Amino acid sequence: MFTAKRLAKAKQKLPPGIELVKADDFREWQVDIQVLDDNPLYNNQVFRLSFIFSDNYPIESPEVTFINVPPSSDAAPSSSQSQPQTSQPPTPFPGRPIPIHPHIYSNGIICLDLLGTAGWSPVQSVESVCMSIQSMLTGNSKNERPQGDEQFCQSMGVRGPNGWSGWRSGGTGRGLKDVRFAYDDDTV
Amino acid sequence: MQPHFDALFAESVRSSPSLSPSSSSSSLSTHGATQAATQGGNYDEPPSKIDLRALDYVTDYDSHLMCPICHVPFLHPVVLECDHTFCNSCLKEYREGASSGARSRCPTCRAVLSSGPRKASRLIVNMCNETKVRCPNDDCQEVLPRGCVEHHATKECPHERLRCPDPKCDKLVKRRNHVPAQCIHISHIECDCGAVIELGKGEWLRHKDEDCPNTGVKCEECGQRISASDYPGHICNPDDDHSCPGKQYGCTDDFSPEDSEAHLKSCPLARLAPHLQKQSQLLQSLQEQLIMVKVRNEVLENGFEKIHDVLNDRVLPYVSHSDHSPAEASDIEEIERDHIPSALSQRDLLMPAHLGDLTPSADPDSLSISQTQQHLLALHESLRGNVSNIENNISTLTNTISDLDARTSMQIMNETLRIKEDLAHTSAALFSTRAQVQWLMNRERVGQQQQAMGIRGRAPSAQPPVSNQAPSARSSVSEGGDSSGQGQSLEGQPSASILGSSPSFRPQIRRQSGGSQERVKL
Repeated sequence: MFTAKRLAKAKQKLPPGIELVKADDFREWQVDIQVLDDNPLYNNQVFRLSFIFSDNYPIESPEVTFINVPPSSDAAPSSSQSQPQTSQPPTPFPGRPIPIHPHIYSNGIICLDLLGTAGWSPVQSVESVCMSIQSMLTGNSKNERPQGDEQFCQSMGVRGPNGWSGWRSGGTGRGLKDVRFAYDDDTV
Repeated sequence: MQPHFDALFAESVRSSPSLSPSSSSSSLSTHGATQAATQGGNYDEPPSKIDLRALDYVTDYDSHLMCPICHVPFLHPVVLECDHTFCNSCLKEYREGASSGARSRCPTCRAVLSSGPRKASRLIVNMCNETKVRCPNDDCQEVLPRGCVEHHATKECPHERLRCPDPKCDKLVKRRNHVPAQCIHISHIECDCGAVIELGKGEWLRHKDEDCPNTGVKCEECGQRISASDYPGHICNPDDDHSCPGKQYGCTDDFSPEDSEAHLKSCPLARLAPHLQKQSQLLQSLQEQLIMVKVRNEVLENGFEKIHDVLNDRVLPYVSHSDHSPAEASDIEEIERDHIPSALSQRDLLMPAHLGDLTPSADPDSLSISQTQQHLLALHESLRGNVSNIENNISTLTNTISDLDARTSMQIMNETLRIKEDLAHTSAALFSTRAQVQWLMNRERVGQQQQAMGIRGRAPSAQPPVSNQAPSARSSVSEGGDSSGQGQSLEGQPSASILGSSPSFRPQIRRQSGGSQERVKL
């Protein structure tokens, strides 16, 4: 399967502001991204993206969402271990919030045509998707969630090992691809 | 294998999403193949048995040669209308996986395409097939161009797994162990180490006990891995031997390690062993010296040969050249006759004799060797002296010859000088006589003209002949190298002043006469 080869190669070179956090297998990857410009909305914040690859990647799009990591849960153990050795007070893990953006729901789902079935192209890669989301955040100036955010989040439910549990996905764990977005806003 | 199956089955898979490509059956494969063939605009690549996209690419390749979908060098590349290139199978997979709207668009630039893809240029195909990959078969480390890997992996590779020829046996067998029309799994067994052992002859046990590097028996004392059959007689640590020190000098006694001390006391060879060892060392050093001496002898021989060559090449040509002085040349020849043959004879006769002395018994003759060496060296020196003498003689000869040359050339020079002077005298006399003759002729002509004038009457007709005469006189003056005689003669004319009349003629005569007078004084 060349998918694994292709993904393995993507690990080697990543542009600035993009950092691979977890890439143990070729099923799910986690990537930290940062907005490099001084956009006041996202200044000094790091966000975590989750890529879930299907067997048919790159023909099929990966499922890309932001995930929320509460502060000092992930990297805290390692920093507390190193505390007695280093004189510097360890910077506490700031957590990975979900960025506020008119196209990003509070459960992390991103409304981006690139990630839908129609907008996806096998030419895209993890790197290019990350850069698209970076630029999407950079260009934003509205400090708001999309319309009907709460309703949507309720309908989607929580993401578990079998996908999203809400009624919208039928509770059968079907992926995001069946969620239909209307890509009407070209301003952002 | 997977993506290739994908390419074939994708159409059917798409129509029934629950069916995964891995659950492939033969009926499905034919179905997919016919569908792929009927698709317009696509050309069909030859079906490959191995997945060339999943190979291990050993070297880096140009990113421009990389398919943007599968990220390996293009495989059967096709070019779209918008000039974007993809692998044929990648594009097919994309089209089969894409929605109907996106199907007729370029994956990269999303340009709407009206015509199907066409084959990319052979140049690109060749460049892509040139990339080095590793053979996909396990245990095979072969690295070869991608264009050749399929042939290698499916036709040649000794590590390729083939189906067992027995249809009932579903095991695989490596190509190198494959026997046509015979299931080796019944009669043979393959060891972990790669060897195939025939069953039923006790070979398998023998292999496990003796040959197989993975098993075998490990000695508990020295850690050495040895075959099981040797283990009872195995002696640990061959370095720490209990054999007799005189063993190499002829002691043939066998004894157990416990008896070694008693043997050491009783065996005369063991006691002699240190002395014998010293002797052998001495022998060895003497042999080395002998080799050195031989080398020096060779050097000397080479020296003699060189001298002989020098005599032949340099001296003999000189002798043949120096024909001017036959006496000295014969001298040189005598020297050569005296010395060279003797040197040759000495070398030819004495040297082999000495060498004959040297070769069989080296040790006692070392003194005589040095003597003969010195003798040979002395001969060498004397020969060299002779050669230098001859060279000196030749140089003196050449000096005298050059002296002679100089003298003769001086004589010739003197002779020619004298002849030149004579020639100058005679030419001067010739000129003076010519001038006199001219003057006389002129005078005679003038006399005739005067006579004619006297006959005819007066002046006017007298002028032309005079003016005619003037340029002729001038030219004769300016042309002459020695105008002394002529100047005198011209001066004589006006002093005689028989004619004295024409005014245009006179100043020229004056000027000329002044110049000529100075010359006369000189």
